[in-house]
Amino acid sequence: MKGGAFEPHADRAGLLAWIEARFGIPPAAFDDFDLLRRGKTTWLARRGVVPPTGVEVLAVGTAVLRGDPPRIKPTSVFLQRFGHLATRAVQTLPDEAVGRFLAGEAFPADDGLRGYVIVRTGTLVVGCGLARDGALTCQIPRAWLSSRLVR
Amino acid sequence: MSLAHLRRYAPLVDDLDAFLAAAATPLPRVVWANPLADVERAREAVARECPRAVPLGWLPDAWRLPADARPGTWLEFLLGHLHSQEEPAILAGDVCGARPGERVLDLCAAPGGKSARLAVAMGDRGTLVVNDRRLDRVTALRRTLERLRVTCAVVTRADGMRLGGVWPDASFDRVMVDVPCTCEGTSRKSQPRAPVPGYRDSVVQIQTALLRRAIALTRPGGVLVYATCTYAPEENEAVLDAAPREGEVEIEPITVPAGLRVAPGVPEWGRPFRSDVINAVRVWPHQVDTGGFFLARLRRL
Repeated sequence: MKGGAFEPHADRAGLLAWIEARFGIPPAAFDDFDLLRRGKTTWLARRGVVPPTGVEVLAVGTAVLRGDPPRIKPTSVFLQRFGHLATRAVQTLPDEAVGRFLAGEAFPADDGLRGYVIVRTGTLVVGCGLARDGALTCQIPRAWLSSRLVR
Repeated sequence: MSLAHLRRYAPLVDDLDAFLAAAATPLPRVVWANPLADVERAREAVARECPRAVPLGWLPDAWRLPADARPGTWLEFLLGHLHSQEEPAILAGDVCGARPGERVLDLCAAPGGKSARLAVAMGDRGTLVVNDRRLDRVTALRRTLERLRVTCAVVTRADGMRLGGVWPDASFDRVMVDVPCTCEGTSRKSQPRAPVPGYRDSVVQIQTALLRRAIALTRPGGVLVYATCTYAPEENEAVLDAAPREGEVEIEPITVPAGLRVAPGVPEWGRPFRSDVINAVRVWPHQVDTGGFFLARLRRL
């Protein structure tokens, strides 16, 4: 099968511990989900999903993480879904700055913030940002962004 | 492009001039709040971005927007709190009646709006297999479902006419088969193309094969929904008449929400059809302010 099979994640507990250490999202948030692995990607699927056989499977649930700790990148879909539970590695932008952030403008990163972080506004979790050398940049795929949203 | 090719439906429609006029006007947008995300954020977005939005009436937390509204550009849309979809397409997903924990198949699923309605009905629990044939269409399908926070879906790529071995045949509780068609009902949202001679005949063969496959994949007692976005009885009632074997399915009445007007399936078009095709529904754009659509709910016997 192209891309290999989707297998149960070999170190679920370790991965959830990393998520908690990095973002403060408690492991219990994932009690109702299976974590699967194919290649370097971790997938999150509702517990009880039965992946079919004998057909090309391109996705089971949704891709949430790429790579392994410590070099691991969360997807924006993952952060949009669970980011409201986070207590760490979060930066809040003013509402009026979101369009420019999505357009690629770099913003000053909060003091001490490094690596992949959760970007939010007052009420919305926007997705994944990268804090590096004091600058915060957007990691949301360009293809997802309509031209009118980016301004 | 003229809509003269739609005049052939004069014997089926109550008001031909009103039908042709409606088919040429821009389509209002409809958005629904995603219960798998945050409904309150969707309400806020509609109130902020589109004060002229009107509640849909037959579906909670859904709104009709003016044709020039661009909900796809709203931040809350990017974040999955709402989705834009035509009313009859929303109805198609809901008519399937999927429930939490079931095995459900969407055989020709891209771009994924109906799949999303199935997932919502399932409360994102169970297994929803969403299939399409072309990689570019499957990519769009994946994006729709991940944006709308669906985690019970398995995305597969296969020719729907040959899909097998997913599980043993006849194992799905529900199957949606939204077949390729001549798309006559989409004239309000995209520039209508001139009918290509012979295309209808070839697409009818595909529709028939897909419906046969869908029936084979549905368990006895299970439900399948056949949908098109075209008016032609050749692609609708005639396919429902020809594809199933004797005694294999029955076409069930569809409970249509109050406020959504539909017309029954027609009992004949050049030849008589099986009597239960009248339980199917056809949506005319002048009767409800939508695109054209056809929908049938079948029970596997």
